[in-house]
Amino acid sequence: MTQTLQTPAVRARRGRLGGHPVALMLPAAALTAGLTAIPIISTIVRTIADGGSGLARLFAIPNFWQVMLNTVIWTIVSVLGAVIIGYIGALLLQAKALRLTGLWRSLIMIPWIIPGVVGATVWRWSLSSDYGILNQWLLDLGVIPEPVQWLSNPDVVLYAVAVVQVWVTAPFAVLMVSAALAGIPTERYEAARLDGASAPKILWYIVVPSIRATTGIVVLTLAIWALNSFTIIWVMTSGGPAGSSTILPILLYQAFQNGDQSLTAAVAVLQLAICVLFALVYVRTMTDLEEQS
Amino acid sequence: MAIRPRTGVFIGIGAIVVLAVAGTVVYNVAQQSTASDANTISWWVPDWDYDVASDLVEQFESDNPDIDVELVKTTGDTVANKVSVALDSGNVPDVITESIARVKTYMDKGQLADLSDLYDENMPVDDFAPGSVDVVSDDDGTYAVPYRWATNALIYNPELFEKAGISGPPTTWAEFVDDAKKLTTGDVAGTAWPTQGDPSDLTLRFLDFALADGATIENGSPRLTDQSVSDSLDLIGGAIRDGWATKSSFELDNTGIRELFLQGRVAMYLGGVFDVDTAVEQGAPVASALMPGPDGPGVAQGVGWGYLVPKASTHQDAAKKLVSFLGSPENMAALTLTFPARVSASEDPKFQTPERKPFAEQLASHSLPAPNDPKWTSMIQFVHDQIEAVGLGSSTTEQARDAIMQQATTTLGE
Repeated sequence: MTQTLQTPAVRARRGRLGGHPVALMLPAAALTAGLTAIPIISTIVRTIADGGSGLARLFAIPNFWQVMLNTVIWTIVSVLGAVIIGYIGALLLQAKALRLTGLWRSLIMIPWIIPGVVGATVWRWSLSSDYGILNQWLLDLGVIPEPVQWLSNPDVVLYAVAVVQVWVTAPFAVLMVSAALAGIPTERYEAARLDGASAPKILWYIVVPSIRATTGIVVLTLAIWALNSFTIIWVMTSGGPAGSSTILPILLYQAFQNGDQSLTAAVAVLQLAICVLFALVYVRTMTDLEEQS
Repeated sequence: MAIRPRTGVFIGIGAIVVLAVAGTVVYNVAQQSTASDANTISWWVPDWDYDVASDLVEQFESDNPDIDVELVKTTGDTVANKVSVALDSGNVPDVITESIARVKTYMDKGQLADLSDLYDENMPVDDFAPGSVDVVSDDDGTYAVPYRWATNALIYNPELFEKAGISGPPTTWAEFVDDAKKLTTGDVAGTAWPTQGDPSDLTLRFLDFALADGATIENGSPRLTDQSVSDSLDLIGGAIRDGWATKSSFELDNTGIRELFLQGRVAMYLGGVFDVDTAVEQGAPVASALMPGPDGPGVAQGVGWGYLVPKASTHQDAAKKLVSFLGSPENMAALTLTFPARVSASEDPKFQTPERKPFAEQLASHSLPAPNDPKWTSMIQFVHDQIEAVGLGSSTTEQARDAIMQQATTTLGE
């Protein structure tokens, strides 16, 4: 590969464009930076300008810590669920016995492709205590004696909506893990089999280490998505009942609906700080990956 | 430096794209400038009014050939955010149809034009529903023209009542509770409360009960009492907890309740005249009555929509001319789906159907303008969650009452 990069044609091309990459990227970079930086700066300025009263009120909200706990549970369940399903889905798609792989791959992508509001509405009706098809199936099968209050029971609702987030984001995990699996040289599997390794051992000693970096990126991406997720919860429960499915983005929107700009800015800054932490880990992981490659 | 043909093509395409974008921008700016000169005004109108509004605009433009009106459709879900952002940014339309409940927020920020001069002999203040103009006024002026006004009333299924051996609709809270318990059997729930969706749908009913029980509204802000809060919490949260309001209330918004009512699975509920119209259209058994109160007819809050002209509008005169045109009784009646804000517009036959009469009586004799203090608005989510906590059994009525009263003291003052 190094030799390919050194061919005269490539060198000539590099020479022609060598002085321009930054200039070529500058307009797009400036536009992106402007569109990102201006809202962030104005939000931070707004938070500081009111003397931090928005932040003080945020921490004084009676259910603030419940919201934080909900956000953590929501993120962990959503990410774990999507990663596990992503692994299983990708391994199944790679199985040689599987026929019509292209068809399955396309079908798996559907939850990721359809609009969030549509998916959330379908799930809202499916989980309804009055009309829900899921309860009807479970009742017909004799699994439950009476309808489960999926969206009304405060002990259940957060997990119920997290399942929908998993349903939406798992295809992304399947896609990423599939791509990583395809990059594992077949010689490694063959060598392991020659050495008498069983399927679980191949999975643990060959597959998992080979796609560790991809798994890291998938986890971070899913975590950032979960932290910023709004549509599913808003459409399905509006954060209820009694705040039991309220996470930070829902709290932010509620503040915005009330016209409470300082509280809105305070929630946004808090959410930004959390996302920055994840983004730093993400960038670090990507840098490590580049160095490894 | 020689340019290779392929690079030249790329540069050419890039230049064309840049020129096209720049040209579009220049064209739009020029168009806006021209439009400004031509006195084109924009009116943000909700989707449910759009078709009739189009007809009215046509008539207005023919009466005022020097003014063009551009209609922009909004939706009930998005109008609050859209208007708020527009007014905050200063990039505003010239006329906005907006909920009266939010007007004071904009008034307090000084974002609205004074429309006092529109109230003259052709549009006298005393022709408007009681209190409807007061809530959009302060000492310095009047900042909206209400055009649509409505309250909730009791909607019930007479067939289910008859089956349960109940002779008529409840007129007091005690009867309401007794009837709801009798009506709750099998798949049928006595009543339901809208706890999903917009939290103000639930707190509107909460405050209706509280206002019938000693709470008052002063300067647009509710003044709650321990008793009124306790009773209201029991009637809503307690009903869900005790099972005579459906447990699925936690999943229902107004539309969801209406659907269950149409299917005969909710026997009665407090709803708007839209719901009755829908039931009549679908041939469902429906009747309406005054809202029950502690000892007789209850109090319902009058809520409505009105026309605003942003202070930042650059076409104030033309905008006011349009608002004045829309404020005439006949145009108000044409554009109103519930009840018109002007009494003289209520004579239109479409407001006189038997199912609408209890709503009209509730509005005329047993209603108050809803609070419009932004401080109350900021409390709504909290009150909503406390009602839900009672319904879930995670708070007692007393705990929720104390929490609400404390929050009210902190937020609304003594």
